[in-house]
Amino acid sequence: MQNFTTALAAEHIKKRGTGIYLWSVILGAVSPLIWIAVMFAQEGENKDAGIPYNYYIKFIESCLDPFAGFFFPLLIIITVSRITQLDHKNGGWQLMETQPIKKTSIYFSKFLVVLFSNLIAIGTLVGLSYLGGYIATFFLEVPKSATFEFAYAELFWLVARLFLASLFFTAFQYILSVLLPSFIWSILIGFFLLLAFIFLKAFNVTPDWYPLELLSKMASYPKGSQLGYWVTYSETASFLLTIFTLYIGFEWYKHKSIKQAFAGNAKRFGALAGVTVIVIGLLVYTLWPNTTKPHNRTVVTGTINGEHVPQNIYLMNTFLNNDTLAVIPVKDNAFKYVFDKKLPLIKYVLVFNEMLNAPILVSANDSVDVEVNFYKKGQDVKVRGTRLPEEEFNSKENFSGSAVSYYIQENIFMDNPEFITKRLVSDWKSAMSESTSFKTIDNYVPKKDFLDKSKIMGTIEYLNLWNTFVKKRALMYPGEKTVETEDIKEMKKSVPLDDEGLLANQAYFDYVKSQLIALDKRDLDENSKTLAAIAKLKPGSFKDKMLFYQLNNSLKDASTTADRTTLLADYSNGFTDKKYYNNTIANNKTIESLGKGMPAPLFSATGIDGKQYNLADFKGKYVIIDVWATWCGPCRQQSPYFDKLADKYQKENIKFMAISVDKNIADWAMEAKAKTKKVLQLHINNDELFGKQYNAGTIPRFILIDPNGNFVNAQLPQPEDKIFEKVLRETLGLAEEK
Amino acid sequence: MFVILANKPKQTMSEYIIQTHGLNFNYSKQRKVLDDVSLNIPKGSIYGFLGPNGAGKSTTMRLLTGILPEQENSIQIFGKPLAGQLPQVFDNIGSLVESPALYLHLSGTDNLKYIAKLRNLPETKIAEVLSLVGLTRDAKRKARQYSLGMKQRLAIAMALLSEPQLLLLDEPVNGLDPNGMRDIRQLLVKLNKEKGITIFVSSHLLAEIERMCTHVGIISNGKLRFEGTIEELGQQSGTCKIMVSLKDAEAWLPKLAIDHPTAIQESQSQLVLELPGREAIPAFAKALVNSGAEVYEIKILNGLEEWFMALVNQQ
Repeated sequence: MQNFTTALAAEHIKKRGTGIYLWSVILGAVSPLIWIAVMFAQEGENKDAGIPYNYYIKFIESCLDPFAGFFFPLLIIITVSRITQLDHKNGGWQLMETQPIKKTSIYFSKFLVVLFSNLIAIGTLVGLSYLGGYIATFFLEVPKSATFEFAYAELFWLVARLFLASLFFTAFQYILSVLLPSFIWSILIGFFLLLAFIFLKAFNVTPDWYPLELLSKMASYPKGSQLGYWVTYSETASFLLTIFTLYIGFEWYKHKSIKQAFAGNAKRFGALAGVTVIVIGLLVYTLWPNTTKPHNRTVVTGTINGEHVPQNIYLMNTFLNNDTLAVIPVKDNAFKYVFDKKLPLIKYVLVFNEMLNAPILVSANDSVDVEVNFYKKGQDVKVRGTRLPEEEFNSKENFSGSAVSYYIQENIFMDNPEFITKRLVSDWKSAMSESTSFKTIDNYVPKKDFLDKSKIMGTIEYLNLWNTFVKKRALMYPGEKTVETEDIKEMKKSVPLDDEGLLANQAYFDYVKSQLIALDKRDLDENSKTLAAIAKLKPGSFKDKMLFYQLNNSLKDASTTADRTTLLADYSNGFTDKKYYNNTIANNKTIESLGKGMPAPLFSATGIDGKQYNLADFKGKYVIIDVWATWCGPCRQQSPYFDKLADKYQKENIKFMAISVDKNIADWAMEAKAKTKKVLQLHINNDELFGKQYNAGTIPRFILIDPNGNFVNAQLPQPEDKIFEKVLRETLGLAEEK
Repeated sequence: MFVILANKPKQTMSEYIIQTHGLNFNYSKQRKVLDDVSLNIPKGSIYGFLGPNGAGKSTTMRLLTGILPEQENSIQIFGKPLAGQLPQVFDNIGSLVESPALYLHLSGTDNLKYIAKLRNLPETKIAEVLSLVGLTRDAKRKARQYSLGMKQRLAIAMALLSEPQLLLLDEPVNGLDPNGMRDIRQLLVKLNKEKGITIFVSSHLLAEIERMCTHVGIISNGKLRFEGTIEELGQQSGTCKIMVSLKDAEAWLPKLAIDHPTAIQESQSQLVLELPGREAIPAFAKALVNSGAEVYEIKILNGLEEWFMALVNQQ
């Protein structure tokens, strides 16, 4: 050990005047400096989501991508090359070997200098982030939900993980640079790895052990393991790979040739075999993807913290509007629900209040854990449990827009069906392989039932594209045929036409619909053709769902009560399950009640000064309502447009009002006071009743009522949209604006 | 083909600081770089290891320092196998293998500080060795700015820092001008005399070895052709051609031709003739002076050189 510290001290004499540590500081400083510049450039654009976060940790996390993706690897390539070249250029390797210093000390003291350089770079990144972040607080507005405490543990693990993630690349470059006397090779290989990484990423084929992937993963998941491990599997892999690399590199260096090092005698060969078996074994174990273990029951549990914890939450079916499967009581901030049936994999929705819900995936033997936090001005929902990989996969939106969809949309290459077909099929194939490569930061992959489903959904996207293409070609080139190739047939074959579970997806419904009416050449609208086709399906729950979906759509689209009555008379008796029938009738009622000319339900609300208002008070005037809440981001975005119109039409016979559905009246009162007086600021008295009667599932919501208290439009477009003002002017009898 | 081996000096094993027993080395199966090389370097000697470029000198040097791993255990240093002593054996060995290994971006002092740190030596020794090699004035300059001779001397200073018992120097005068060569030579002789350091020095220059060494080993094509003291070397050379500069050479030619039929007149004042060996020179000179000749110079022409060339050209 003394031998080692001696060698380390000597290395520090040797690197005098080379500025190696100075470079670590410089390259560590670049990313925070860039981020500070970005912060100043984006001044005021930061939206406060209302979820508390540590200001400094977030600052550091914002610097991670450029740092771990480029500047840090660059530093490693440079440092390693320079520190080894000091000896390659000056005959230092031989000089060191003719000193009373062990080769282990020589080799690893030098490596330690590189690790110091890495730590200095990371330290600079952290230090400058704190400094820069602190200075920025004097010049920039800091979101109210930011906190400023010194997060020891978080910071420690961030630094430790960054350090671990960089180990393998460092060790790899180091053994190369020691073995190859010419500086050019290690630098070339280093840059090649950097460049190749860009391509590997683009084609989504980066292996988990790729030196730069380890760093990039760390930067993409700054919070680390979702399952509470200290480090992620990727960092564990980095560590194992480092051990192996250094072992090979050192033996090679020590014995001067790979043959001598490992085939020299039986002992060395045995050591190699032993180390290889152990490390590679552990590595395979670490990198082998996991799937979550099935639970013995099917259960949803969760905790709800913060203000306004609801008494009950609702488990809803996404497919059936308002079809509540269960009311789950919340006790001591926790809830639990056990499914008693065997379920197929279906997406449900947990509803916490009118404004907050969370989709969850559940199938038999799943245990889903939900954590909800309500903050003053925001909330977040985390879903964990046996479907964590699937939830994350869904949130990633893996099927990105392809070139072929652009061609078809823009009518490019329409005269070349072979080309479009070929592109479509190859894009489909790569999308299929993409869907199987997803894994979480803890190396968990989605289960097969889910992957099969998402593959079908992916295929449908491409089949819908194909159908569009065929339709367009039929219109543009009526004489020509568009040949369905074997590949397209194979795609079609892989999609079943009667999968109930998939019906939760609009795209699947659309596809089944298109297949059902493909041969119907009658001159009818699509809705009628679809209803006719569905009516002919075999009775059962699949038909029920198809019918429910289509019938409700048709009811919504129908313009008169007479049309709706006919639709119900013709098709509502097609349901096997009475539940769907009842739901349809109820939906129709709501549609009718919100229809043009139907009386708007009366409600009462309170003004800022405490004065009571009722909708009935405004008879004789048009009333236009903005339903909002202080914590609702999109509402905040729309209200300025609404306020502007209130100013523009203040002379007309119309009352602009904003009705808040905030739980916390104090929150509302504070903000409402600061708003324009041209809009009457009200707070609803009974928000639950209002939500139900006005079918206000989501906000912002804009409603227009005529002087007689009847609906003109119960669901106006967003005021940002030009049509909003057009409808308003038409209603008020004003001429169209030029 | 013949191998000349002088009589083994009468010394016991323990007095050899380095011994190799049939040292072999090959980089590949076809090419044998060293073939059965047995060296015996006595304690307290300056041992010149002589051979043309590519003979295997550097390979031997690298094997002796362990830079090249030995293929058999045939090297003994300080009476023990080298293999078990690495790297601690370097506490007692200073070495300079191949062209001077020093850090050009560091000053002379810093280079020595580096060695002092590696060897756990007090930094006070630095000034001492700097003055020994005559670099005190240039200690603060970067080694990059040094002349080749200064670099060579700094490298020797680095090897000397720990006051080793043994110095291994590979071509220490290679590329130096005559002045530089002389400085190094004088330094080595001084170290050997004053500090009793055994010096193993390789060179391809016969004259250099002849001037400072007590013992010589000659290697060519990977084989040891000769080993012995410098005197034994002289006896090996056979006839010795000398050139005599004297007054009135033309008159002296016939007189000398009686005993030395090979004598010819080279120029106005110079005669060239052959003697049976170097040992015959003093007697010849005495006789010549006694017979009244006014002799300015007697110079050995090429006896040893020719013999050496013949030796190293063997296959």
